[in-house]
Amino acid sequence: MTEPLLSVRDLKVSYTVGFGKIDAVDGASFDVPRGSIVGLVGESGCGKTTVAKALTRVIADNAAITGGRMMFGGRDLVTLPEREMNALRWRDIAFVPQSAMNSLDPVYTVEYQLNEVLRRRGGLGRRDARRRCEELFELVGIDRGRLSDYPHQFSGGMRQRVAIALALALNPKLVIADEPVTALDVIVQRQILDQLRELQVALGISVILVTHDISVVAYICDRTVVMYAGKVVESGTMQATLTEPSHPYTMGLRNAFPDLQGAASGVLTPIEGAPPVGRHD
Amino acid sequence: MPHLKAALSRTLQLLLVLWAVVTILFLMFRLMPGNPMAAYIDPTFTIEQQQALMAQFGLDKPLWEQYLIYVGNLLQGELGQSFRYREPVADRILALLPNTLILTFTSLIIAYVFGILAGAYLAWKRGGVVEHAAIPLVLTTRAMPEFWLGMVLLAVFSFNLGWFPAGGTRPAGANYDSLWALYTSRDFLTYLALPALTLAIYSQGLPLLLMRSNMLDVMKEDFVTMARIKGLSNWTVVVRHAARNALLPVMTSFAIAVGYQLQGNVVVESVFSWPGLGRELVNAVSASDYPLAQGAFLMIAVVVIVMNLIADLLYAFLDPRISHA
Repeated sequence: MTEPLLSVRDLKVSYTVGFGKIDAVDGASFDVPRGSIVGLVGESGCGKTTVAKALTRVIADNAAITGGRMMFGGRDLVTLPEREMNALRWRDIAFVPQSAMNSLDPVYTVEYQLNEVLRRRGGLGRRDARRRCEELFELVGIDRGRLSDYPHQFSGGMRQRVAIALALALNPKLVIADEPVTALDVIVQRQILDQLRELQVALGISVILVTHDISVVAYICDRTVVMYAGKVVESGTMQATLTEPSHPYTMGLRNAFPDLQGAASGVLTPIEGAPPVGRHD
Repeated sequence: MPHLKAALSRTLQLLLVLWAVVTILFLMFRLMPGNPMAAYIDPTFTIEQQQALMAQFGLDKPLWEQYLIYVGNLLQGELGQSFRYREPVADRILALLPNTLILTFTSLIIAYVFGILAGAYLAWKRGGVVEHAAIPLVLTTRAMPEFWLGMVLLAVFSFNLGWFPAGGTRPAGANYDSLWALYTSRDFLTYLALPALTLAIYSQGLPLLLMRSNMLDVMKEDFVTMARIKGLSNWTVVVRHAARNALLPVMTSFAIAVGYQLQGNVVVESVFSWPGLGRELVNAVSASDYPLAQGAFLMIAVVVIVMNLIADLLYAFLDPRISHA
């Protein structure tokens, strides 16, 4: 087997809160193979979004990566100098945020925001950037005439497509999508997921899909990484994790979702309580 | 054309406001105690002479007729005759208005350029030593009365150091070919410096604090985080995204501040003997020169109303969520 694109080992991220610290991510390890979609699942507060943000090293002011390694193309992103890390951002690792509404700057046109990345980060000239903008909009299925529109003029699904176009602008190797379809209705969710899958295959990129929705994972992911209380409790192929879970939490997670085939009883089994918080003062 | 329609209805609204202001002004001066003719009429005049004068000014007519005449005259740009100067109020006001507008805009532009830059800087460097020293200092400048600050500046820079003249707009006896020649002369700048500085120091707190708190809010927005994840330079993130968005309400407040400043000018113009509308207003009221006071009030109201309209239009222009709705 070839070397994975990204290999995270024993990653630790903690937040300083008051006088104490909270270990939001406490020793997470997983691999992202080349050309695959990896689903990072878990409930709210389990640390999955913190892992996603930590991969770009743009984290909250009170957060810090306190240990572990993130090997990407032979380099450790944890210890990489900021200059080199910044050179990697968007060119190699791009991000599709949860809410495209708030992640696009309301006072600039979509074209301006694409251009910003293409020209400032990609070094493209004005003409090439324009051509690339049109290409990207074609790729995600939006009419090129809408390039000069402002973010608020798009619908929720369209805005998410714009966010995907933006992420693909510089041909990254890895796209991190943080709950990319959570805010959308199920029909649009499916369209976006289909499109993400198509593009991932066509462009041969890898995707980390952060979600709390097991059905999204089952629909498009190749591999699954299950997180609980800041730790990765189980990882493997999507089929294996969902059909033969080995960790009790994964079993619980699976049982908490309706089953299309056999849910005759109509009763779901919720997971009781909330995950513990790794706090030390 | 949805926003042309909006601008039009906004303008209509403002005309309505203007009409209300005119009416209130008219009634206010009729309700004031004392005979408005007191300053005009010599006590040695006979009753017949006094009544003839009253008739000459139309003051013997019923109130509603006076009101119609007043509004009719206003529509022709006729503001009446000053009791004190015995010349048309409109001429007097037009002669003073440029002085007031120059003082107002100079001080506000200084205040806003400084306030916006300093506010953005303080938000960027949040939590530093600079911030802990700067915020109380800004609050102090907000708390200082303008006339007191003006007198301190006068005492230091004019009387002690002698760097700037103490008041007025030009050296005694100096003559200029035109107003334009006066306003572009170096002398004028030295006369303008202290009053403009006083007003600027007083006014910079609002844009500074507004800009800072807006910036702090915008810096938490997802699109600012995304700009960082895109690997854009710190400058691009802070200036093009955070500051550009935080600027919207500050720019609107500029237009509204012009209106407030005109009121603040009343005090500062008096301290610096600046021949502006504010000082004239004070003089007119204390001399019971009602037509002049009325005209000055009206002029200030017009500027406030126009600036409010500009604020609205400016916001629509700067924020695509309004202009491209």
